[in-house]
Amino acid sequence: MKTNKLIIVASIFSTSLIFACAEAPKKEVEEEAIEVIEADEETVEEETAELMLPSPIQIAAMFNRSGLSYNAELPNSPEFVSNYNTKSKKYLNFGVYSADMAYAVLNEKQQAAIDYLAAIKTLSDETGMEAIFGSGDLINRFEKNIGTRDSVLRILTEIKIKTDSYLQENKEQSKSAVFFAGAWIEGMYLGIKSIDGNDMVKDRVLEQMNVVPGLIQALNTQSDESKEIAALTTNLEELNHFFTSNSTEDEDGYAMLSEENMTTLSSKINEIRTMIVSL
Amino acid sequence: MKKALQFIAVLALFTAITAAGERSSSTATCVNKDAKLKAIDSLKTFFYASSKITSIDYTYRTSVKEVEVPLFKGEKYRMVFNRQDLPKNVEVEIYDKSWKENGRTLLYSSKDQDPSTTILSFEPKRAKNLFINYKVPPAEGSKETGCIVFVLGYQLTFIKN
Repeated sequence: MKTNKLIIVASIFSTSLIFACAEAPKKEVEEEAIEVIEADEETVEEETAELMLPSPIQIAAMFNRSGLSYNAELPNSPEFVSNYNTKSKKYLNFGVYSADMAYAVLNEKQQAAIDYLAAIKTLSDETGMEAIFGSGDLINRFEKNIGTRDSVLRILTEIKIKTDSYLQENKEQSKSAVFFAGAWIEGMYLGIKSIDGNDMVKDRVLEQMNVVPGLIQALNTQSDESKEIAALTTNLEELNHFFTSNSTEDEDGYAMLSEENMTTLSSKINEIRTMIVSL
Repeated sequence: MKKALQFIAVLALFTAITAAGERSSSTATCVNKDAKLKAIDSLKTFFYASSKITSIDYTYRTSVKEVEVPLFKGEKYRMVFNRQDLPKNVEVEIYDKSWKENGRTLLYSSKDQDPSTTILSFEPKRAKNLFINYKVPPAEGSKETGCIVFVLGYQLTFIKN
């Protein structure tokens, strides 16, 4: 009996020591490992890829250059802002209004741009991100410079930097995927509604589909995933599945889709956008 | 004898738990505003698109962290890295494909840069998805962590009405 106890305790001791050594190796052990790594490059460890999300302002500018004209009926009305009651809806529509604001600024719709900025500020205040707009200096500068598109675009970029920094400093970086999802789907919606006879807009829409796998991956990392985000992720997965199953590539590796499949893709984007902006 | 054995067992478990705890708490928290602002300044005429601050944990062996960057056709970009918050240099490599794929081409490497250079920049000739690989050298001590800042800039052009 005594011998058995000795064996058990000795096993625990030796296992624990091995575990301790494995987690915090002593210098001699490390040096041994380093030599092996240096001798054989193939043993280098690789980790899961992270993804950068593009700028919604840049996406709006790309659509603008493709000849996307302004249609005041398309963007989400800033009057709906007070009706978004869940945090996820507020985050998603923060993104939607950001895309609408960029769309308005690039098309020199000054009053619309001011209204969208007000909606964005409301949502940032309601989600605890008051620090982004601070004392109101950004809003004042925005309104003062509204007639100068270059200056306004610089202010929009400043808002983007402040939003990213706020999320990074508050360890909520994963939320940027939710904002981006809202902005991205709104940009795609504005694109598909203006495709008629414009192949450049169509190419831009197809190129944007490249972003979807990474966006899904980023949405899946949300620590407090809501029903809305889960539903959005599922819909994006379906959208991605449809696209990857039906698209082909040209000789440069850029995506192509038949007219019929383009119509289906557009209707799927439309459905997702409706889900996001609906009250 | 019994008490002595119990003491050894408790001590061993405590050592193991402490070691595991040290490892899990070693991940760097990267909130240095200064490093990010310097990287943004280095974008020069390019507009800020987005940023990613990656925490680097130096382990007992060389490791690689990968960041995928979606770039769009016909657009011009500038990629800036700030290595000022790293205890020892991480090599930055940029490829046209992920490490998971075969036949990838190395487009940029910081290997030949002076190790004291903290700001690195690269402007890709062709805009298509790129893959940044951070090659993290092995740790010399038991606890080494750091942060690397990556900022992406794009050339903003639009149609003037």
